[in-house]
Amino acid sequence: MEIPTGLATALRRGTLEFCVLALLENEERYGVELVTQLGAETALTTSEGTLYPLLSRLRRTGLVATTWQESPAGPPRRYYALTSHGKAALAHFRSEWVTFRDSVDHIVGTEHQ
Amino acid sequence: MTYSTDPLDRLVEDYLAEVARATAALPAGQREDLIADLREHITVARADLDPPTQAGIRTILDRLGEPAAIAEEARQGEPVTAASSTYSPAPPTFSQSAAPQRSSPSTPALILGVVLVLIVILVGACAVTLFADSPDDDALPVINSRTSQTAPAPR
Repeated sequence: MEIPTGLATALRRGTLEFCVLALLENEERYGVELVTQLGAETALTTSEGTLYPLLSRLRRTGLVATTWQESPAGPPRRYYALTSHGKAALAHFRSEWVTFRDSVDHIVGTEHQ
Repeated sequence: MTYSTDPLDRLVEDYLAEVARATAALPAGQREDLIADLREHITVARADLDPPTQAGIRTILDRLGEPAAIAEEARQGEPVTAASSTYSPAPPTFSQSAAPQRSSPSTPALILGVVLVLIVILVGACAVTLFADSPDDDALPVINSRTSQTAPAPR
């Protein structure tokens, strides 16, 4: 019975990108900020660095857009913002997620946990 | 104070070189993107270290994690999202490893196909001779003459 790590990875795979989108919903954030915040949630990431391939993919698929901004102290930072495409994807995920979660809870018996 | 920036830079460069090695199979653009992202992360995080120490740099790199794990994420993450499947030029990364797998099942399939075609031809040939034999007894002499033309030896 040793599924845990594989299970966590599988659960993360379809959901983590929407956690990134949700973090960007109300404000722009720079890479280190995003990655540190997600990295603090141990269920969501294995290490901060593993988030960069995801961020790169989100840029390429146009769900986020980035701009370089000067920082008050230190080097310029790349800020991530949600695009309209990203907003739509997040809204879609929200409704899908609720249905999905409810179905799993119902079948697995985790409704009241 | 004997610390210079050199050993710190070397730590960073060694780490990024390891990432570069681990991601050798990625398409060049993607790999450069990833390394640039990690470099930027390190630069930004390093600026927050009050005195930039080796221990501080090590912590930043440790939190980024194993280059192999990052490479694995980059490799696995690609084909999963629906959006990336519209990028048909992207998958060629995997075509190198997938190509032999794809061609090896097709060879047996080809052989199977050829065998099937041969069987169909044989069955067809049998059917032709059977139908030719049974349906009309009146035509027997004709058939005999035909068989004698094609295969005179057996009779």
